[in-house]
Amino acid sequence: MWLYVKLAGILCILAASVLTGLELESRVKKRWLFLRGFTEALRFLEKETAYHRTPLGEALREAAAHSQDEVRKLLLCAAELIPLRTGTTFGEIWEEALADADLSSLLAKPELLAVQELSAALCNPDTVMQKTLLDKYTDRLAAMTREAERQYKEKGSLYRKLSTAAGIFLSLILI
Amino acid sequence: MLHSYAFLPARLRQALAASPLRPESLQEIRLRAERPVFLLYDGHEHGITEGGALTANPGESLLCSRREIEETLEYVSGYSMYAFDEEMKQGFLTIPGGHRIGLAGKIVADRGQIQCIRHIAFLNIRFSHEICGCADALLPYLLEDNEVCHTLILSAPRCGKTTLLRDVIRQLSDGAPGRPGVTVGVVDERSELAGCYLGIPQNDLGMRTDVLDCCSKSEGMLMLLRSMSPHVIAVDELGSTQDGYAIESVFHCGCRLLATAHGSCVDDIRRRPLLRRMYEEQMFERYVVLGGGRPGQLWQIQNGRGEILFESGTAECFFE
Repeated sequence: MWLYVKLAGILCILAASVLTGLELESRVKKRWLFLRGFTEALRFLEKETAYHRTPLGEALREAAAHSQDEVRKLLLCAAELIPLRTGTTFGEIWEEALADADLSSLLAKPELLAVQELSAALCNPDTVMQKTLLDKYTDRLAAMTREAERQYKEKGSLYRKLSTAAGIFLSLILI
Repeated sequence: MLHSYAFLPARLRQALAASPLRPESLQEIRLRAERPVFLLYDGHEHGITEGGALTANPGESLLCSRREIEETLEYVSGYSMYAFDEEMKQGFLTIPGGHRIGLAGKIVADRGQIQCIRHIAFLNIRFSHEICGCADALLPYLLEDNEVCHTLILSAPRCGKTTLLRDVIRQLSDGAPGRPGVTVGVVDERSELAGCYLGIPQNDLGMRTDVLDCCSKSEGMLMLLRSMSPHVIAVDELGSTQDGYAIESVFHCGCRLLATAHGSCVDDIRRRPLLRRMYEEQMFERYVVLGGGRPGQLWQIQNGRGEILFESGTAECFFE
């Protein structure tokens, strides 16, 4: 009887540790995927605004249609707020969309700051400055994406292995 | 939008909302970075205080910041200034309602061609006020045997020639009992007649009117002749010699021409080569002169031979 209880306990510990490892890995992966998706969306927006001259609301909607998950949610939220907030600056609309998307648990502070500052690049009365800023932020986010990918590749499997090992170690102690 | 002033920065919007001024009498708002805000209201310049009171003292008027200029540009462009590149090269934007926003700042040119305007720090918001029916009394003079006469409307600046032409176009296009409507083609080089926003005329030019927006008159007239089969072609601010060939094409194709030009009397147009030639060849059948000190005040109507069909000794204003 006691053996069965111990076995059940070991299974629970192992499951918890493996799931914890997977959760930590998926967070790092999600961060990388978000940055990658967002950088691609930014390149799409750059093309839409610089070459097709698509109005911003429509361009954001198009970019959202080509994106997934949180990126899609963020862009769609901003696109939907534009016609509703006449008399509000785009900076304020972008802040509201970001608050709605709640990326603070997904992104690190520098990344969050870069995404927040993007409003000046997406909407700028100086069209030359807008293009310059869009280029600058696209490059910056691309660099952050590469760093996030590197971290995912380094740490992702490490978290999984460490947590599984910790689970096995705890199980052995309890035995 | 005119009544809500949603395209203006928050402070100015609140001041205008609190002020007793009548929107239909507001002609212009001038915003200059780090300078007082000025309104052209009922033909006079005023400042506006934070509480919405009109003031003659510039020192009491709201000061417009650079950030507020940028804010205004964001709103009027729908957060998409880049989408209005071509309009910016012309120096203005048109917003819903047909109102026009003149821009000034640093010009970036390449080989003499304007590429864009940067650091925009001066805005002139001109409100469009179409007056339907202002051409009611004039129209019978412009028709002969139910056919539209080639007409030139003359006036000094801000005397209502564009407003009058707009209503003439509308009435010809819509027609009336006993007078069928006709197809009218409009070359709206400065976006003042139709006030198109994203291709849609914001002013009523009638149900049979086609508009070429922001197109040069010379090219636009030829394009309309080739593709839109207009019965009447209307243009604003005639006078450049480049328009000569296109105008001749209009006449030779059997279209009727309605146009406006700067001038306080018929003699004024003889100083310009193109218009002088047209006058001497009696190409126009009607000359309508506005003047007398008030917008819309009709001064004189002549036919192509110089015979006076109407002359006003007293004020006869079409805009009341």
